[in-house]
Amino acid sequence: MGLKRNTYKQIMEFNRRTFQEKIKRRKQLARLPFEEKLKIIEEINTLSKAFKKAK
Amino acid sequence: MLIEDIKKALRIVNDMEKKGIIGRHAIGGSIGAIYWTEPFATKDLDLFLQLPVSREGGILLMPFFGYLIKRGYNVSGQYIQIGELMVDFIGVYNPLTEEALDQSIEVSVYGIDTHVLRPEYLLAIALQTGRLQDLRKVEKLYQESDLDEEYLDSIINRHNLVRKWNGFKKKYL
Repeated sequence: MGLKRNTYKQIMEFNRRTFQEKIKRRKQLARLPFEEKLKIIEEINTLSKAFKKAK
Repeated sequence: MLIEDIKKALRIVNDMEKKGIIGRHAIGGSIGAIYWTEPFATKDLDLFLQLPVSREGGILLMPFFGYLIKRGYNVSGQYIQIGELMVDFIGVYNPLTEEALDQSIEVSVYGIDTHVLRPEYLLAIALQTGRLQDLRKVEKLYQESDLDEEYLDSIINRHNLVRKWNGFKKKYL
C-alpha cells in the first residue's frame, strides 16, 4: 500500500529535521575542548570493555 | 588509561625531536580528527613525523627504532604499544602528507607541546587513503569541523584529488 502524498511529505520533513538536529548536536560536541573529548573517549573505551566482559 | 598513554606518547616524540632523532611531528588519524569533530571510539594514535635523511638521501630509521627499543618498547613494524594505546608512527610519505605536517598547528595537550594536522589536510589524507573507515572520517570532518572550504579546494586541486572528491560528494554529501 503506497503512502499518501501528504504522509510521505511529512516523513521526509521529519527526516530532514532529525538529520539537521543530529548535525547540530555533533557540531556542538565538536566544539568541546580537546582534553574533554579525550575524557569522553576514555569513558567510551571503559564502557565498551566492561560490556565485552559482561557478554 | 588512554589519556595517560597519550601523554606518554607525546613526551616520547617531544624527546626524540629534542634529540634530533625525528623532525617535526603532528597528531593525525582518528585522534587528530577528534580534535576538530565530536569524539568517537578509538584506541589508535597516529603521529606523522619527519624522519632525518642521510647525505645519500636515505631515511635514517636506526636512531628512531634504537631509541624505542633501548627504552623497552615493543616495536612491531611502525607501531609501538603504550599501555592500551597503539601508536602508529607515520613518516611523511608523499607531497600531501609533507605539506600537511608543515602546515600543522601548534597546540598544548595537558601542558605538553605538540602539533595537530589542520582539518582540511586530515580530510584530504583520508580521502586519498580511501578505506571505508577513512571515508567516514571525511564525512565527519566535512560536516562537523569549521573547515576553510577555499583552503580545502586548493589542497584538493594541488594534490590531484578532484575526481575522488567529486565522487565522494556525489555519493555521500
